[in-house]
Amino acid sequence: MPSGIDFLSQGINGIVLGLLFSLIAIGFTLMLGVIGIINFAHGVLFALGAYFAFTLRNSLGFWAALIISPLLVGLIGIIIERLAVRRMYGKDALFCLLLTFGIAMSGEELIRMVWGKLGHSIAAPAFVSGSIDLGFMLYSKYRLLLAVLSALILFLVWLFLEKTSYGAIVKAGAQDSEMVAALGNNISRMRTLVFGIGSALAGVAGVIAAPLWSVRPGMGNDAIMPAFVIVVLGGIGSFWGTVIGGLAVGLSVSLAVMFFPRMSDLVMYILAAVVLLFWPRGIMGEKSILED
Amino acid sequence: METKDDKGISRRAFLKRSAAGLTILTVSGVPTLLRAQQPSIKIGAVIPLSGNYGFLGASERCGIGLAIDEFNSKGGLLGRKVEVAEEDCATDAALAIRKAQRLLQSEKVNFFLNGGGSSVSAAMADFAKKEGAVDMCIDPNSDILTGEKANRFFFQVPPVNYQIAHTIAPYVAQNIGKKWYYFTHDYSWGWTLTESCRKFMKEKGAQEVGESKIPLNTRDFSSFLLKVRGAKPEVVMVNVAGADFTAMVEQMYEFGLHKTAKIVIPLEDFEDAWAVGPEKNSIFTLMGVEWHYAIPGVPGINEFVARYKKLFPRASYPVPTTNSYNAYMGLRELLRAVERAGTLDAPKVIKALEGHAVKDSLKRDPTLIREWDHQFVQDFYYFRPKKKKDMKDWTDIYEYVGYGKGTDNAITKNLSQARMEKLPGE
Repeated sequence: MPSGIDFLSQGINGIVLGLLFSLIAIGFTLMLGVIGIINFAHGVLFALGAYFAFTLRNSLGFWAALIISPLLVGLIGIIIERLAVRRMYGKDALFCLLLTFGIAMSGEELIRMVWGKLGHSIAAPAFVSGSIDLGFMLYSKYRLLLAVLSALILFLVWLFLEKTSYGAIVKAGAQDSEMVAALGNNISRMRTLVFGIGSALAGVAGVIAAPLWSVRPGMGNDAIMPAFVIVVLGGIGSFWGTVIGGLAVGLSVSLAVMFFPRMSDLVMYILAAVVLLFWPRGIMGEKSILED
Repeated sequence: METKDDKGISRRAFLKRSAAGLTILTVSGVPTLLRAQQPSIKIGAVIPLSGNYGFLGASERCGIGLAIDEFNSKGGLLGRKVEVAEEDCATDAALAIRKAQRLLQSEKVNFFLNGGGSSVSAAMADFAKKEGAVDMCIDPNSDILTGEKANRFFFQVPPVNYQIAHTIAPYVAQNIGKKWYYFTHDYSWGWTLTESCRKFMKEKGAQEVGESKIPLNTRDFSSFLLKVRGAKPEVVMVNVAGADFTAMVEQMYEFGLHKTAKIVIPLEDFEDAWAVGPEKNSIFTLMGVEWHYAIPGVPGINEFVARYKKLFPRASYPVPTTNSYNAYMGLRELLRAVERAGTLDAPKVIKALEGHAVKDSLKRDPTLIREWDHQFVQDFYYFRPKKKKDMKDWTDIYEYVGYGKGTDNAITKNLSQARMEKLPGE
């Protein structure tokens, strides 16, 4: 039987993991909730963030990579939106799903062509390399940094949505885009911006996850499924729903290892199924594109 | 009386010249022309180019290319060119069988090679038997492939887990530590490797203090690493492979597991070790390796490496890996068997393979293609991480420790579940 220390250790680890999952999912939920598209290219944008960091890490260092890589990924997101995704607005959601799925496939191949098939390792910054003795457990210093960074970025996204006038327009656009446009706001530019921000968030999650999970062409698949499950679990388009969903997945995965390690990869799907039985729109969800 | 045609050549002269011309053509050019028109000998390669073992395919392609080049550069085989038709199995058994079926029906391949993990190869073993097509299995190591799945059409090139554990586990128990914790990849290959390690661990007086079964495609191992600390092992045996393994090594390094326990990997692929880099790979105390491009005192190995570098100057990996080696050895021996048999007829090729001893195995001892389970019985090596100052380049990360002979460590007939069927006409 696991001890209290075991529960505490795995609980802390679950929260840290949950913050990372929330960060991976937040860009995905923004696009789904605000623009109404299921962006299957989210995973490849996550991978691009990691690969840009891999390229920039050695020459410019981790902190520069943490800022520049998401900006580059955001720019790529804006190009994707302007060239392709915007043609799908107002059409069946399935079209955009197929389009972004195609972008994800070609993006992964592009990564193979540019960076090769071989996986790569990215070192964590020297000051957080190795582990720290917390008294009751040894824990990775980098994961503590990851928790702080993830929480900070989530807070900044919340500030943008809740405390800025543009954030208010974005949220209003999610509710009634025609009314927002009628009030003189450029809805097209808003969608491009949201797609760019969502992409940059995928990119920053990729940079932060890279020293943990290593960098491989197929790593986007590691992000897309948890992101989708968390968004559905937390509620489509809900900021807090995504944060709660991410933490719930992180905690359940971590605690499952104590009792049923073989189930640790399944537990997030079981959790989502159970939650959806009682809250069909997720924990904090409202009517969404998935119901159209 | 001679008759002349309109151009002044007599019929007899015409017939003589025609006969002479035909003779010359027969002796010299025509057979070559006819041979050139003969269809190629086609090898269907169902290998992993995506999925958890996607990186192996890049190595295997090079090994296949080396074997084919060896035959085509000397004029082909049985007067025919050898070529490969390749399909990505994506580490998916059902997909592999669909692709193999297509290769057989549309491409009319003569023989198969397969890789992509034990579940793919187990399915391919059944497929080979059902279709009566010879299949050389070039990357997985699960015991079922030479046990319950063994059949006359299926040949297992790499050593299987029983032999790997028999070589590594006694060495670890005697030289590294007695309290073992297992990380077991949760599928056939991982289970059988842990099971075999357990058997030899107990025989040498070591004890198990825990096991975590790792689901395939796990990316975050932090919870598993916190759990293992509680068991206080002396040795952590890592029976995990592929992309999961590289992520796991990153996190073992991050959590400093190597500071509290000796970490041993009974079977490591170069591709995985290179992906994590020399520093993180140095967390291991011992690594089992099927083959190495610089095993000391092995004839022919330098020439093999030189040929690889010449043929693939821009390959993903600058030196051949164990997976290039296995693909090369499997295909080369298959093609040599065709040459010995003088035919593409599967039963005759099988008989040419069975019991054959490969003297130029590029290992210390000859490799035997065992008749009763179709295992390529061969040496298995163990290495430790090389010190940074001794490394010549980024690929040079292993330092030779020792090896075990296949004939001493491979499973014996009385313990094996292999039950071979009779071939048609036997």
